[in-house]
Amino acid sequence: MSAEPILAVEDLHLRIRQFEGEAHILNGVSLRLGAGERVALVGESGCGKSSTALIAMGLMNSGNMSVDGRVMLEGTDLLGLGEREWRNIRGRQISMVFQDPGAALNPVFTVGDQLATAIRRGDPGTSLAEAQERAAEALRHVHVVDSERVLASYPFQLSGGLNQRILITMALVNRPRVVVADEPGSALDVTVQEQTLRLMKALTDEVGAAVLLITHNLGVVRTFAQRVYVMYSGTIVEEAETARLFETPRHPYTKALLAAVPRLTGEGLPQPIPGQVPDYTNPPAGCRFQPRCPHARADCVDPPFAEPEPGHRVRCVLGD
Amino acid sequence: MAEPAVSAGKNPVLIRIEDLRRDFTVGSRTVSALAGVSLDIRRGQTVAVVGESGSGKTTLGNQILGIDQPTSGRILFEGREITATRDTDMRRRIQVVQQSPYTTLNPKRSLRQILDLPIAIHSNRSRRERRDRVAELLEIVGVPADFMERHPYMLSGGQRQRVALARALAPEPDVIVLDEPTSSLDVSVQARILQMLVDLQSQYQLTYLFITHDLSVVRNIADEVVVLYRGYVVERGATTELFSNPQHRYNAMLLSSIPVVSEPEEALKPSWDWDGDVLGIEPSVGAACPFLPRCPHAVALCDQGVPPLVAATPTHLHACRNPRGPGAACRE
Repeated sequence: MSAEPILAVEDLHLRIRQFEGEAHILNGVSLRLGAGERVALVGESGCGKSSTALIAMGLMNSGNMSVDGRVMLEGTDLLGLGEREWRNIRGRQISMVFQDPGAALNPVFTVGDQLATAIRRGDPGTSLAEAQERAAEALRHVHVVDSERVLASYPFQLSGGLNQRILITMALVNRPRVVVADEPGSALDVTVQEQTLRLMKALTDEVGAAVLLITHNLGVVRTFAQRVYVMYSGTIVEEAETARLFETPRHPYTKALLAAVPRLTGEGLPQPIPGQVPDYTNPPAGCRFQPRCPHARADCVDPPFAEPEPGHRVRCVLGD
Repeated sequence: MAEPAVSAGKNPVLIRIEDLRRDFTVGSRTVSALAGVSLDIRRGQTVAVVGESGSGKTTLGNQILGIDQPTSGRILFEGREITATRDTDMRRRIQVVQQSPYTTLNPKRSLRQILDLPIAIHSNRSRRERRDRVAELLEIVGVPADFMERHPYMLSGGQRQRVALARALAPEPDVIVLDEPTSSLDVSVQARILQMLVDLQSQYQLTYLFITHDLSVVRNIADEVVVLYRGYVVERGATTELFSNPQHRYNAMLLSSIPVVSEPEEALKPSWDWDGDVLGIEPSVGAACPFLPRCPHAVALCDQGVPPLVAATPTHLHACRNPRGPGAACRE
């Protein structure tokens, strides 16, 4: 990782007041993205991945929530910004690719209108005609044949793969420094998912954007990311370079996640993880994975981060 | 269509599908969701049907369930034709588990009501006996029996899928059509459901038609695989052979797109020229190999009609005019 992070999430806490009590959703999440780096955030549903992403995008705040910590984008703390300031940042310096391409595009505007709007948001001096020309060019650039027809279409007239391609184009058209991608392609066929990830890689490389990839699919992590954060119940439990994480996973949760993946080598059925993600209003004290952990012991309280190898950090009393 | 038989396993054939066709009219065009599909499903086996969306997987499942009628072709159950009509007992013997457990359970009914209906229809049990059977079914799928009066919204995704499975088991079927049963679940939950499916299969001698696009799951659960592309069977046979020695180029493309988590798995994936694929191409209409527009390995013969299934081995058929060949190493 380069010395100076482009995006740094520091000690992020999210608390939501609910009928049942206060839910402590994020419990001190810290992560860093170097310029142009592809980083994955992986974990089961309900562990706080998307909450982290939405906070980083300034899309998660309402009366019953409290957010503490810092989200630093090139030296600016995004958490304190108002909606007016956000408008200059979102879509220009940091943008997002959402999971379901059918739902993320507006059904009552053509794809061309939506792309042109994104372009003019990034560069307010652009005329509508210029923006439309640039939109067509951007689509040709991502190998969309017949770009004129596609631009005149509404999202529901296009395939999921094509919509996903348009969303990615839209997120990158203003050459942002950071792209947050929440499960891109996971709603699509595996063949289309593969193409989607290849396109993301090529475009972000070209623009020099860093990517924070949110996913539950470890296979996708392995093909796409250079570095990985493993998240469990609102806490980062392990951090490593991708190759190292898959070769020598150290946290029991990471090991359990890997064992739950069915293998192409046909080793029989995968191993389930017993239990479930804990209740956030009353989480277990100390290590939140302890109730499901096969190696749990009496001193499993509040484990600190250990760094058994440079760049490989793990939050477990076992240390390995 | 005459084609070589696949003799995978000695179990008797339970369901035979002969040249099944289902055409839909879309505007002025006719689209064949199934364009002449033939296959045998043997008792006690798991047959996986794989392919991209729009390949006809679910349409095939619907034909077997009797939800939809084919345009032509026949479906035989233990030699009896069930294509057009089937009696209550026949319907009892084939059940279904659908993809999303969030939309397939009636939100206004309790688990007891949901599970009571199939028991009431397919047996003469008294109210009290039915209640005991509901409790028993919940125990079988690992949901506490005292959840009986709860409603689906109070359950997790994994628990809902267990209830959907209990509903399919309720009338004591022979066959269960599993339509993407784990694709909306986390891997940790998926692993538990798969384990349960395997246990139930051996306990109740169930036959599964497993519809999915997840080939890693197929590798570990299916005895036989059928690869569909635009309504055509392009490859089918014993699971180990289809994975270790894929013949049809489409099957190779599917295998190479699986995101895997280890080096040994990576080595099993055939190579594929992803940059050679083009988007936005219209489907060809019956005059050529359906995969031709996307295939970087096409040869001159490929537009000479739809290729028939030919045998690579006695337990492995494919419909490719330029197959990867008998001894093709996985990394070309």
